[in-house]
Amino acid sequence: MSKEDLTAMYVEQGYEVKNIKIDEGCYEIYGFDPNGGRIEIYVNPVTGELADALTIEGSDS
Amino acid sequence: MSADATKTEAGSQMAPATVRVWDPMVRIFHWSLLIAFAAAYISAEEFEKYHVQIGYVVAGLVAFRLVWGLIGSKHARFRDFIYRPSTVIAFLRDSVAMRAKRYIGHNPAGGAMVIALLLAITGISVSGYMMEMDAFWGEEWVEDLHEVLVNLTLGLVALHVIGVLVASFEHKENLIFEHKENLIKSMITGKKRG
Repeated sequence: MSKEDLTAMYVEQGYEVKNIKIDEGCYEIYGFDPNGGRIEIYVNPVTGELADALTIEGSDS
Repeated sequence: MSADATKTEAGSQMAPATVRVWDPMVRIFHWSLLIAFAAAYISAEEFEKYHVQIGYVVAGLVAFRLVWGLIGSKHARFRDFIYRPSTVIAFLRDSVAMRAKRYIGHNPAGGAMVIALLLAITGISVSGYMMEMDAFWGEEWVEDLHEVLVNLTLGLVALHVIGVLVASFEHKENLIFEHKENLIKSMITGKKRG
């Protein structure tokens, strides 16, 4: 799955995708959830499914 | 038994044998910063939540030191240890030749190191804070800057330790034990020989 496809997949679900890194064979997405909270999620590079997530509540902007 | 008492018994002609150089706040700051920086470094990858909290402790310590550099005791103040770059370079040259002048407070190289470390750690604190801001969330350059500054600081710390050891060695000008210069001990007790 390309970064573009991944971005499209998460934007579709209401996320804002800021940056995608590749870390230990996973994509790591930095962005904001539909509520504006910061997210740092690891996704399966083949399916795009969630592998692990770190969500930070609240927003300072 | 205190070091002073030992010296008196040894029959030293010098009175007082030691002078207070580093005030308690300088010493508490110094060792707290070392512990906090090490804890921040260790927690960076695996314990992110604690890393951020420790980062605030580091930033608070540096902020305190910047204020203490203005209002602290004599040798804690910036004006006591900020020298012209030419003086710092000349001092380093003399150090290499093992004929550098001894200073009671920070020597010119030591003073420059304090400033370099404070600047580098301020940069780490600011970039670390930015990494938690929405505006810079996921920005790679901010994270890179944070890491580069950390590595720079580790290099400065290594040089700082070498500098302390060299200065301690160089000014062991008298082989009688009580005249030995131990700058590491000075940062614990606050005292140097007079």
